[in-house]
Amino acid sequence: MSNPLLNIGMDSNRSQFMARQRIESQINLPRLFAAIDADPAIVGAGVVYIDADFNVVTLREFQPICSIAPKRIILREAQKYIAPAQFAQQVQDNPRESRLVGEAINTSLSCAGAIIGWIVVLSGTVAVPFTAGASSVITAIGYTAATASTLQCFASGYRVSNEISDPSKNDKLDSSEWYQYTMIALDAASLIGVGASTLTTIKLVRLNQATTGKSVREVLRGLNRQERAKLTKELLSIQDPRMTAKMLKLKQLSGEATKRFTPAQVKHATVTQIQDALGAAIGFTGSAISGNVRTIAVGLYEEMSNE
Amino acid sequence: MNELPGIRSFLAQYFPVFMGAILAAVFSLVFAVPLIFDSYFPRLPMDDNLKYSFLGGLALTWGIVQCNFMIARGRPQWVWPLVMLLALCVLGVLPTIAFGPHPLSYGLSLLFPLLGLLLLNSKRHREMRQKLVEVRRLRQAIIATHKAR
Repeated sequence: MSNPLLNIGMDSNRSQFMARQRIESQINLPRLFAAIDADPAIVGAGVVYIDADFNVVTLREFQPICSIAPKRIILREAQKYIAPAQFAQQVQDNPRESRLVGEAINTSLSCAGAIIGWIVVLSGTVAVPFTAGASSVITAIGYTAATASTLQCFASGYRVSNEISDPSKNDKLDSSEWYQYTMIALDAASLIGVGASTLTTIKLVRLNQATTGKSVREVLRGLNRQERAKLTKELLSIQDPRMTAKMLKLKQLSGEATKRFTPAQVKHATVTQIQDALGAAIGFTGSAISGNVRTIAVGLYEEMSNE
Repeated sequence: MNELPGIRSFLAQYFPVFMGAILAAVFSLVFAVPLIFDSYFPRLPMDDNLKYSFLGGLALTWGIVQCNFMIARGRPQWVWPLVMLLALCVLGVLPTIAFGPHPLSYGLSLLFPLLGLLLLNSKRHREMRQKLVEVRRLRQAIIATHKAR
């Protein structure tokens, strides 16, 4: 989008001009923008529409309200000759390739957890002669942590192995109930082991459950590895209040250092709202024109600087 | 036995080989178990296949953890179940070449158990197992004197 005309709302060729006319007459733009601006995370996000003929039309420019880095909602219309189900499949399959990297990163993280667990076991064992009984508690905790994190290391490695040989296995795993329960048990065990405080962990999760109305699995899953590490640190700082200030500062520092821009996901509710706003117009007029309900994919893209 | 090294130097010397053996064993299961299930039970529905291989793999991983924990507690004879498991992985994986496995996962599922066996057989690992036996004797002696008091 290096064409300067695009940035002031002008279209470079006739086809784009026509596409803009068509879209503006079909979509209730104020309602669409209202739906987007209702979500604080994406207030003022730019809106780009890509129609079936790959005309890229900027419906609204990004305004730096929610963040300085540009965010854009991309609405992609399906090609006419693709069935909606097929289109959905295509859009879902697109980020498939990068999954291997994600799973591999996950594996190395949980195996790093296993390494920490085993350090605790080994040093606890070696320390026992010097401190007599006191560090056998550490060894017991270390055993739980090492077991749970080694099992998690296996579990995430298993997903990598699947991703190499047959990626559809992972989709199957995600939808299996027994798998979810196993992972809950492992997550809980590793949290207990590392945090060494059963009560606090379960209380925190319960609290979160009460406030968000999510299931335990969802709550634990909603926390990514980093947040889980944070939760663990919080648990540790409850046990040792002296560490809090220092840790918080470190955390903030590392948080700033590791900040990265990734394709963000629109919250489910917002997508639903956007689709509602689109659906009323597109669904009806679309089917009236082509005899086929038009399918649109919604995605949010964030970037570091303007292209 | 006052020449017993401190925790830090002990870890620096023996932890890499100890952890390497654990990770090699875990990753041989990671790649070997699904491969074995896919090759020898092709008629199993995918859901059952996943369930048995995942839970079976977890159980075997637990076995690895238990063996290594006992080694760390100074009982070196627990290394034999590990050796048997790794040998079984190699023997189980070798014939699966007939079923046309993914080359990468076939290669890795042979590489990791062999690496694990190499690490378990290394001088460092043997030395560590010996040291841990000494630590156990020391520990038992100290606990005995504590109880006697």
